[in-house]
Parts: sequence; C-alpha cells; structure tokens
Amino acid sequence: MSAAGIGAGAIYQACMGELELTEEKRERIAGKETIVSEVRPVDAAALKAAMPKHPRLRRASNVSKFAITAACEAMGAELVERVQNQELRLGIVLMFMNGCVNYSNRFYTEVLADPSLASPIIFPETVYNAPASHVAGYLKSEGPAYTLISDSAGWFSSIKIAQDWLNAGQVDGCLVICAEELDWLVTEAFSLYSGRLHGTEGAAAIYLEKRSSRGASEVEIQSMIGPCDYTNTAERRDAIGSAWAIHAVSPDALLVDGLTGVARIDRDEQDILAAWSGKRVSPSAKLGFGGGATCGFQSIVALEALKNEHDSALVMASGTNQHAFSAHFRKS
Amino acid sequence: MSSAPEQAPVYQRVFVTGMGMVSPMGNDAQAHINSMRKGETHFREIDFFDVSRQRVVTAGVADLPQYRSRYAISERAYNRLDRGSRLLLYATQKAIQDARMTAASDIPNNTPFVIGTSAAAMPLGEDYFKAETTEPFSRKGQLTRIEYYQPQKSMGSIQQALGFRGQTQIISNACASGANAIGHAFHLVKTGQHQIALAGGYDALAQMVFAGFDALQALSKSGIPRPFDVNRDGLAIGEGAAMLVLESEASMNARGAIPLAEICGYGMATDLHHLTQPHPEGKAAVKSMSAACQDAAIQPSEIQYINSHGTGTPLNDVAEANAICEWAGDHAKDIMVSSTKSAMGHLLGAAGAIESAVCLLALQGQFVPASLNIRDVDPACQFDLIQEPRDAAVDTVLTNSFGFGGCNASLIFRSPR
Repeated sequence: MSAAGIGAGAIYQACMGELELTEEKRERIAGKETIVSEVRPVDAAALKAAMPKHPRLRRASNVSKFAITAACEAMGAELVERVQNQELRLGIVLMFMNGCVNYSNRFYTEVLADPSLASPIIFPETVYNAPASHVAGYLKSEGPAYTLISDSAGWFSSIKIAQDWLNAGQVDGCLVICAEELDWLVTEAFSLYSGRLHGTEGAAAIYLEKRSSRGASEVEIQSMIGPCDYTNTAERRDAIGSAWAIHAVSPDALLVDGLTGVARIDRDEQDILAAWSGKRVSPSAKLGFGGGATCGFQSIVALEALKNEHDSALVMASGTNQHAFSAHFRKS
Repeated sequence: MSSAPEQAPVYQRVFVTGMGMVSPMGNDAQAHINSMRKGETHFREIDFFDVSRQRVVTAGVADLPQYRSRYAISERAYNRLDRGSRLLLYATQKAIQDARMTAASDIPNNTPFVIGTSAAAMPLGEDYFKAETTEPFSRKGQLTRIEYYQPQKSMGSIQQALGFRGQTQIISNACASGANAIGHAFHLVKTGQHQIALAGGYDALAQMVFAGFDALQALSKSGIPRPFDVNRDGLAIGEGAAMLVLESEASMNARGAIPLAEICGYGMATDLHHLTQPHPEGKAAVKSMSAACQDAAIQPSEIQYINSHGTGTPLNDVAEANAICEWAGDHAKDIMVSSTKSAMGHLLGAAGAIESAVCLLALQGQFVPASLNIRDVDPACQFDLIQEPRDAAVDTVLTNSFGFGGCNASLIFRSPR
C-alpha cells in the first residue's frame, strides 16, 4: 500500500517510471502564516477499497489500515484463512520510525486544550503497538508479536527476528511489516533535514516461511549483511561501507538503493556505491521518503523485479541514525 | 518467501550477572530492598508538567540522577537526552558496574542492547509539538528535539557515554516492552547467537501518556493503587528504568562473574479480546505463563512466587487472578503472589524490567515483597496473596507483564545452581 496505489506491483511500476505519481501540497495554518508541505500520500479511496473490513479498523489510524492491507496482500487469502482458522502459527514483527502520529497529534492537541475532554477512544490508538494489535486481531493470531522502533534499516532487523522465530520453531510463518503515515508533524520534521525531502506513506509487508515449510518458494532471502551499527556520521560512512560488501555476491543483480535525490542526505551512500555499473533503482527518489517504511518499499521493488526481468536483486539500506544493512534476494 | 538462513540452535544456559535500577523506590538495589522490606509506597504530586486540570495529580516519580563526570559524553550532550533515556543511562551504568565489567574490554562490539519502552522520548515530542504550534517559524532546538525523539539516537548516546558499541533493538510492546526486551535478549544468548546481552526497559512520565490513562479513567482517584483489592479503582503511573546483564554460562565462567540468578524461561502470547482490555479469563496470560514454563522445562508447581502484572485496574487483576488459578491448578493456593506496582506505580515500558529486578532481589534476599494497601481481597485471588513483606524460601519465580494491544509476556528466573 503506497502512494503508487494498491499492491506491490504499483510500487514497482512507479519506481520503474511506468506510473506517474501525483504530489500533493498540504497546508497548515500557523498563526497568520501558512506552512506548505509537498507530500505523496496514499489515495484515500484506494485504501478504502483495498482494506479488509473488520470492527477493529473502524476507528483505527491510517497507519494501522496501511499495515493490515499490506499484510493481507503479502499473505494472500488462503494463508489469511489458515491463520484465522488456527491452522498456522503466525508471528508478527512490525516496525516504525514515527508510528501513530495522526492520533498522537490529535490527542495531544486535546490534552493541551482541556485534558478533561481528551478522547479516551483516541489515546489507545496512539500507542506504538496498536497497529500490530489490529493486525493480530484481524488475523486472529495469538502468537508472538513485536513492534520495533528503529531507523529505516530496522526493516531488516525485523526480518532477522522473524528468522529467529522460524528457526526456533516458535512459528510456522512470520509477517514482517513496516508502515508510516503522513502528518504535518512528520513533514515539517523532514523539512528540518532538507526542504527537498518530501514525505510519503504506506506500508510494505512480506510473509516468511522456512525453506522446507511448503515446498519451493518463488523467491528467497539469500543473504543479509548487518546490522552495521553506528552512532555518528563518521561511523555511518564505515557502516555503509561494511554493508556494501554485499555487492560482491551478485554483480549482475538489480541494485535497489536508498538514495532520496537530496544530495546532502545521499552523499555517503552515493560515494560508496559510486562504482556500481549495473542496473539500479532508487525508490525513495520516486516515492518520497517513507521513514520506517523506506526499506520495506525497497524490498518490495526488489521482489517485484524478481517476478519480472531479474533473477537477483540487492537492497542497500543505509539507515538514518542507527544502522546499515544490505540484503540479497533471488529466485529460488 | 523463504528465509534462507537455517541454523540448528545450540542452547546454552543464561545467567544474570548484573543489574541496575532506578525507580520511585530509589536509585540502587539496596534502596529497593529497604523500601520493599518496610512496605513503603512512593507517590507524590507531579511537578514537571501541568497536572492542574487532571482528575489525578500524583504518580510514582523517580529522583532523576544528575550528570556523572564518568560518562564519556559532555554534560551538553547529556542534556539533549530525554528524561527516560537519562534514567536508562544511569541504570545501564549501574548494571555494567554490578557485573564487574569494564565496558570497553568486557562488552564485545555488537553486543545486543535490547530495550523496551512504551513512550520512548515522548516529552521531547511534546516539546517539538508545542514549539511548532506556538512558534512555527522558529527552528531553534527543533532539529535536536527531532533527532533525540527517535529513541535509537539516544540509545547510541548511551553507548557512547558508557564506552561500548552494541546492537540496539527497541521493542515497543506497550506495558510488556521491558519483559519482551529481556526475553528477546535471553533467547539471543540461549541460542548461542551472542554470549552477552544487555537488556532492560525505561519510561519516564510524560504529559500525553499521563493524560491518556486519566482519559481512560484507568488511574486510581486516590492516587494509591490497591492491586487485588475487591474495591480497587485503578493504577498509578510510575517512571524508571532497569537493566540486566545477561551472559552465557561459558562467558560468565570465563570472566569469573558471580551469577545473580539464572533466567530460564520466556513466554509470550497475544490477547485478541480488545485493544485495551484483557480477556476476562486471562487466556493469553495462561498461554504466556505456560510458554515460559515450557521454555524453562519446569511445571507451575516449581514456581514459588509470582510478581504479577497487578495494575490495580478492575479488569486486569481479575483476569490475571483467573489466569494464575487456571495455569497453576491445585498448586495455585501455594504460590505467593504480589504486585509491586502498589508501591512504585506502573512503570509502563520499564515495568517488566524493574519487576524482573525485583524478582532477582527476592531470590537474593529470600523474601517476597507485598501487595500494599489491600483492605478486602478480591475473591478471584485463590492464591497466597502477600499483603505484608515476608521472609520466604524462594528458588524459582515468575514475572508477568501485560500490555495494551494484548501483548502478554512472562519471564522465569531461578537461583543459580
């Protein structure tokens, strides 16, 4: 679920230039002035059409709706039904950078105005793990569920946790989801880094099983490098360099990088990946910066590429302030 | 999609070799022991955000430790951290010291630094919000607030301050976060992926969260929670941090470290009943306790004491009581149960961590802390509800943490053998 529309295919098409994205100007009145942010949002009508129906989702935030819609697409109707029928033990790992900002904004506005009138219905939806709870509620999954807060590369930490649960036999399958929603709180925060860093929203999800679970899968995560941790900009450059060692495993792969199109933000990754002469695509430059959903979108592009013309794809995740990762996806 | 890496797990025993804690009870283990032995409560009026229009004005407030010159970051850098991260920094430093470790030489690079938090740096988010709405064109301090609002940034600063480089993982499973963090780190060591892990939780009081619980009318009007009392009327929020050093047996022996306890079981389950209310029979709680026992390869009859989630809300306590009785069966009457939230409040994302530390203190001191302020015991409590601190032989203990969204987690600790 993304600004490109419904489904993983739409993200791929947008990133390959086959689909034009519309940019929206959002205005916030601040005193006598108006602050304008350019964003690439999810189309509300498309979301409504794609989202499953469930009582839990009536009051849920957009980020929960994005997450559950992506989760259902990743699993497919048959697997959803099997989990709902308790035939499959599912794990859920959902990660964010920002989380439930719309309702947090709304609730805190109410608190500052008059806390005695602040809505008890909104508050629970501000909690970081509300979306994971809704996903579990819809799927009737009573198994393990984690919500992680991380920088954008935390998507791959989430995959590692899923792998651990699968290897330990705690679950039969595991959903890994990342999601973000737009709000002026987020877009104005992005503008502190660069006025040219435009925000986007949506969710990406993948469903993982062990290789032996249900016969051959079409695609697999062949390898990952990371986490390559850092706590400052100098360390970040080294961390990206360490993660970039992945390029040696498949020089013919499609590279799905993390470049945003904003030179100052991209400098380290741009420099380190400069020697790559193969095909590459930069989802964030097309879709906008999706916070915690960024690397999920990158991975979706990689996986869709495997369905199309590529046998192998690399995803480079430089992160923003915590860690770098890289991954090699390939056809089984 | 297939996940390629498939490694046969090599299980190893995991011990706690250090702990650090800061809570409304005090800033070290001895202060906690003294307070629990005396059966003291620690609630006072909040004075660092406006509570004048709230229904409830008190909470369990921690004494925030001052900047320490031994930190390898400047006081200016320290001041960028939110209140909760400062609490966590202090607890982490204490845990490393308690484990007799030198951060630089004893903590390998890439050691998991697994942290649970519910609200993270919410106070910085609140400051950012207020500045954006009152002075939207003044950017003074806003980038710093946004940077440190992201808890992973602060976790990096904590590592810098203490001189180690870890793999930060932040689990935000509401009020089960701290227990999930410790349980997750436990499994990273148990399965041989790491030899050492630092794990714990933190949360500081934040206006939005406090107002949220007040809006839900989940806070005790008197400000004094009475978990498991038949007339209980809600919880009290608290704040604090606790950190444990977890080590494999091999690592512990190689260092000559002294074990505080063995961590031997972790279970989790999701309660699907409602976003904020547990299933009345505590079905997920039964599952998480059973899963922890299975992980530890023990029976409920081997548990002598449960540090319960015991918030003091009408719905939680009866659900947990029912769950304990179902899970333990005939043995329930022999299990000592108490809620230390009655004394320090509900530390939210830190609750599972501080209550794990309480369990370790109980094992070390051979006593069990009490559920305070009880007048009439809820009839659902068909176990040995501890109402006064008691000296007792305890060898194996369990702690429960249940959160919004149905996150249930249970941990089992036992005396080192």
